[in-house]
Amino acid sequence: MKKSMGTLLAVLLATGTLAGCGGGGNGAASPSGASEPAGTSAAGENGGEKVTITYWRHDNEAEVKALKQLIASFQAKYPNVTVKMEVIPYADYETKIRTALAGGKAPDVMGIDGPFVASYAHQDAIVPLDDYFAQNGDLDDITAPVRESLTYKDKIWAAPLNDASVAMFYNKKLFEDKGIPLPSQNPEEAWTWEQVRDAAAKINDPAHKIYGWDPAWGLGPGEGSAFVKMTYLWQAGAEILSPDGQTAKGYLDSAEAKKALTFFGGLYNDSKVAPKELPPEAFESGKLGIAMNGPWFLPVLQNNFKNFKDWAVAPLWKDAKQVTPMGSWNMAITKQSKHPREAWEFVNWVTGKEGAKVWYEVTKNLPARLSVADAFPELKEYPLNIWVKQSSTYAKPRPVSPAYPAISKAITDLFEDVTLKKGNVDDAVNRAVEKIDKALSSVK
Amino acid sequence: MAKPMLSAAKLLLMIVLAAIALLPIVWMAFGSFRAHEEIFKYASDMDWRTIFPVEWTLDNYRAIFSDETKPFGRFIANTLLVAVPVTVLSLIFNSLAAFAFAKLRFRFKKTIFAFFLSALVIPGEVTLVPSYLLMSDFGWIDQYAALIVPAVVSVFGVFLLVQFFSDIPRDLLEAGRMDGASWLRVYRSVVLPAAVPAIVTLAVITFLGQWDAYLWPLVVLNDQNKMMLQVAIATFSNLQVTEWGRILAADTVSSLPILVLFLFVQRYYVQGIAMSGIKG
Repeated sequence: MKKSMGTLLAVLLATGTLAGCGGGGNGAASPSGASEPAGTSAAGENGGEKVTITYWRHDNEAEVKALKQLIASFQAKYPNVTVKMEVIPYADYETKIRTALAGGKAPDVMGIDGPFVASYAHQDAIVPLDDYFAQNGDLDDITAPVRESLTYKDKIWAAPLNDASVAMFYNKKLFEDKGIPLPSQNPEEAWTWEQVRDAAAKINDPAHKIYGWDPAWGLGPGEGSAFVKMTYLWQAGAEILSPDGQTAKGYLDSAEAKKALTFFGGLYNDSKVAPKELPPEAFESGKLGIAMNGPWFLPVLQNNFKNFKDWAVAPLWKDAKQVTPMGSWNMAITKQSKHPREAWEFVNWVTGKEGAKVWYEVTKNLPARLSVADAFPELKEYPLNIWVKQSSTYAKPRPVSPAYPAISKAITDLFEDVTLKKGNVDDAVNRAVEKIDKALSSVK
Repeated sequence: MAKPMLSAAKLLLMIVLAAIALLPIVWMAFGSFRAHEEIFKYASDMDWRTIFPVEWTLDNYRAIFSDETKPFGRFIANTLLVAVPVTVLSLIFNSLAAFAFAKLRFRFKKTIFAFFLSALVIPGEVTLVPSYLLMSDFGWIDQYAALIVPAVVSVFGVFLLVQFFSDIPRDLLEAGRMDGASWLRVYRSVVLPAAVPAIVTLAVITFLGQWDAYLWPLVVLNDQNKMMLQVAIATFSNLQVTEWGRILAADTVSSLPILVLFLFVQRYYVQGIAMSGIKG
């Protein structure tokens, strides 16, 4: 229900129903805002006027801690600006932010997941940052895939807090028990799909509650699920959309895409190395041979699973191509903000060269800035070097499209259909293409 | 001979059903005394460790009550600050409205009541955005008024009480009127005392509804210091990790007041459901 709520709001906002309301709400709110000067861009430079910037983001202990530090240092530098951070549970972040946008009560700065940037930009909810970046944003320091993922209609709409990547996690003990040679730690020597599947088949022992492989974070909906499933299509050599982003026909229904889907479905239905239902936290409790996860999983293992020491990391598997998913959370400035200049100074304080170093030290998230990746020796060593190398060399952004929410849903549905055998692969692919093309035509 | 057998079988069946209903709650309560690592470790094989912790710990409780960035005690207080006024006010308003619909005679009563009841079929999600815009126009975003005022009138509450009030003989009310009591006096001295089970039932349902409220408080409140209980519990699950230990501890703590409340009013509650059910 909660998920469908977000989707409903996304649709309403996309069709302009809510966007219209948003304008109205804005107008209604203007009595309180009427005392603000009309030209806000100058407000930051005189440094005198008291300004409050609200910033909404989803909850995460380490990230919130980093932000508190950065907000304190920012306010010391800009005493006239107060930053009010408001933290929202991750599961319903989209519901909350879209309702507030519709009501004209959006914050000045909002957290935003990479692939949703185009959708918000298309709906005129956020402002482009090109001019700000040109002044003091060090855009060239941000990795190319991240820049690409945040660029829509030749403009950049958000500043990245960090990047993300996933690698193969495996249970050393289960590998050694079955005499399976361990995969290389070298990011250039990733295992192929077949190598992983063969290893998983040897480990898989459902009768004793030991499972081989969770190939892509289960089968459920959600952005995390889509994030990892798309990589199978890309690894096989397929694309989701045409290069101009206008259609999925001829791309998502290619032979390569079907090969990826057939392989994926086969893991659950033919070789049965992947269970359709996996016990919660199976890898952490030693019941799963092979999983995938990001660098954020390391502190989880160290803090919550102190006695589990059998894990190791290898580069993410590959097929015809070596491709890894990428993209994470960013900061964007809303169109409703009355103080975009101050909002930018705050965004740049957090995501700029210096802020990004503090961010990395506290959160240990994969940096989106090259200068940060250079500044910490641990990022050049195992296991972090695997994700760093992947994110600079093999990373591929999810499609940048205002219809992305629908694309993401179509992809997770597609993988679920193929795995649970709702019709054959051709039918499932055609349905997905149809859904995506319909969504694309509605945002033209 | 057959009778004791039958009642023994009935008893057994009830014990089994009760065990099924209780199992998740028991698992939650015991799970809150486990380290995160242990919570799912024994979940797939059935033995005593599936339910009972192997290594007991109070760390989860320590974690939720000592986290200064998420003052759990304060979230409980916030929730009470909303749930108690809502419960009191909604009893007053809903019972008065139900009294009018059940006992007073006025034009278009049936039509108005039918129209009113039709609101029962509108899911809350549909009214989310319009309600939000209204609250925004009132300037109530990020204020408890946005949680309390709209919750005071409940179509379901009125409906429940109307069912119950209909059972009170009109003669009793007429007698009161004869003695010169106003309708309000009749409501207070005759109807309310006769309707204690229904009132208590509605009070429990309303309080529970507020205690468990999630979506609306999530949307209208921004300030973390004002956060409500269920929203706060949801923050223990984020993009990277779900802190199961803390969630189970928080859920256990948040179940206690409801459990205690229910123990005290159980007798009325069952009566209230049974009696209004017979009529409806």
